[in-house]
Amino acid sequence: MKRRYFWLISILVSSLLLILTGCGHSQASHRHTKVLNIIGWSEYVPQNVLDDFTKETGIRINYISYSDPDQMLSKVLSSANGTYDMVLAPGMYVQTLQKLGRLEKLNKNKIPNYKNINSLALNKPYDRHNQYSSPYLGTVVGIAYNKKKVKNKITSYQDLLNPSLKNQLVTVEDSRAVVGCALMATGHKINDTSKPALKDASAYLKKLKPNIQIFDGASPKTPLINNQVSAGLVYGGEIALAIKNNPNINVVYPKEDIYFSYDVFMKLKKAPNGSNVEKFINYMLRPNVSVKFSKAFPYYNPNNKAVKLLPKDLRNNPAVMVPKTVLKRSQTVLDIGKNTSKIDEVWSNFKGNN
Amino acid sequence: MMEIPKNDFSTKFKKHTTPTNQPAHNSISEKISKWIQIIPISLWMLLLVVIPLMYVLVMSFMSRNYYGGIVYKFTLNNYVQVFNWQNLKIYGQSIWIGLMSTIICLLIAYPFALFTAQKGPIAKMILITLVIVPSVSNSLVRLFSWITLLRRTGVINTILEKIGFIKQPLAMVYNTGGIVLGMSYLLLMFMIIPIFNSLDRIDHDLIEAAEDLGASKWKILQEIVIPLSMPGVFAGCIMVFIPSLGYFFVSDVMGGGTSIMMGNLIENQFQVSRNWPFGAAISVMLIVLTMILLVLFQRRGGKMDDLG
Repeated sequence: MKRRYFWLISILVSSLLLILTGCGHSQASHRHTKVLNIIGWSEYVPQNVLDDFTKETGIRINYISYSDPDQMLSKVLSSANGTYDMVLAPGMYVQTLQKLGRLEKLNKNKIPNYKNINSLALNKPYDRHNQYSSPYLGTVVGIAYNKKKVKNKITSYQDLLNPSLKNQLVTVEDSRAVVGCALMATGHKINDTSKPALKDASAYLKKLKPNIQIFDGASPKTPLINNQVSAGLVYGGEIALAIKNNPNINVVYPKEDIYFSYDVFMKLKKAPNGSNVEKFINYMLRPNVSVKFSKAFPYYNPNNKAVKLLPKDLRNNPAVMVPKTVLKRSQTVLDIGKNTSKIDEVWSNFKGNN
Repeated sequence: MMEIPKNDFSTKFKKHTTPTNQPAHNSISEKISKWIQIIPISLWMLLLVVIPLMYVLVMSFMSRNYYGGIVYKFTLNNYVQVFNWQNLKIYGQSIWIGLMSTIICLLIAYPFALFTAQKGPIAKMILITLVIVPSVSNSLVRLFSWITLLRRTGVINTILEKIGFIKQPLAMVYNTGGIVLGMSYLLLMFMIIPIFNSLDRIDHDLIEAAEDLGASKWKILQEIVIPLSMPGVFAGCIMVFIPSLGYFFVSDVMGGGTSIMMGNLIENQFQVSRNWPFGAAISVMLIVLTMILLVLFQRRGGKMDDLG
């Protein structure tokens, strides 16, 4: 009798678990004539912006989200041509997807609002002639610090090595960004994978490790806001949100070069709803629409006309609108193919060593 | 689905046959009904367990594709990489954290199971249900609530500081201790239930006989209860230790990602490093390790049924 109870309970629990874990993703549909299938970052495009587009044009949007660009890559590569119409991903994926023959050129005549884009965001090495991509928002990695807790002045990456910051830093969980910062801290280029460069970067990271308390890719602002850490290498948008919630947080851009990457829209080859892609990009480049998503996700906005409409606290916030002088010393990560594994090796040695 | 008409046919056929060859037909229909019972579960296991595992095994001998996925070119490199010094250190650390979690779970679970096993049937059911109920909610949510409690400006530190018990906030999370705590918390249920089951199954007459013969409570525990509950203890240890090697999200959330465990290493190969074959090779190693532990468990007289 007793055993029967446990059978019952265990069946109940396991079926509940099955139900809970079984809530899968909705599949992109192809039947509907007016649809647009986008695969893009999770938590990056506000739902009301997408809804307004549907209201205006009658085009239904399936936004399939990913939390890691490599997830996106494997999804796009493993599904048939035409499953997704467009991608929202970091700029370096223009190179990757183009090399693999998955990209279609954008019809710029259908995107009159393309002229709103700041020239600093165009002609990037991953898309020299702006044929394949249109920038959405830009991500910088800056140093965030708590004015009350950090006494020494921070002006360079080297200042993060200060022993007074032991176990006091948060770092984004992003190998290219963090190893990139280490490369720039030691005077190398962000895409340099030569032996001496990586040796210098590893040496920098080895000294940095004792100061790191948390690696957080999802929400590095949280430990900053609740004073769990006193400084960190964090994305601009996250710093902006941290400042909003904790006025003691400040941002500083190191005097060396800095990491900067745009997330861009790309059109995939054989997109069944191809003509909707340009319509959508043009819509997203409208100043009033751009302001909406910029308010929700305070990353760098490359839309000249939208910036003028931004509320003052965003426009004058250096974590959001990175100053031009800083942007000029920014470096962009590129697809380095096989050499990625060298960066991975540096990264896992850095994370694995205690 | 195809078997059902066959079955109908055999029963119809049976009506027209003479009694002499009936046993043979019986065995045929028995066989068919057996197949009907076995085929669905076999197909299920084949499609969702055997084929994926074979794929992992094959993948672990292939070369990597730098954009994720694999190139079909045989290599043993992945297994060479499995045993490099950096990775061995990670396994060592994982095993250490796994052992600590297992010991903590055992120390908490045994007294609780002993207490529960002595209660009446309704109290037992309520207590065991209370153990299981938290697992209905998402484990990540539960881990994040631990962080709210334990972080530097969290509930516990704030209270301790207010009452003047501590001057500096205690570092209770974002370190190895945090990982062990999270792991023990999530896996405690898997330790309690097998131990409880084995304690519950002990014949009460044995204990009464010992009492009649004048054995002390401590003696009974030592000579009867603990030895008879050992299968449950082993089962619980295996059910806590093995998942602890793979729960990468615990070290990400509670450890702040500063230490890599076996699960993180595997996850990284698929999500970050795009080295699927190496990830597959570590997975194979983890499966082999699990098998070794299960064989040891059986050698010690454990029954596979106890593992659920």
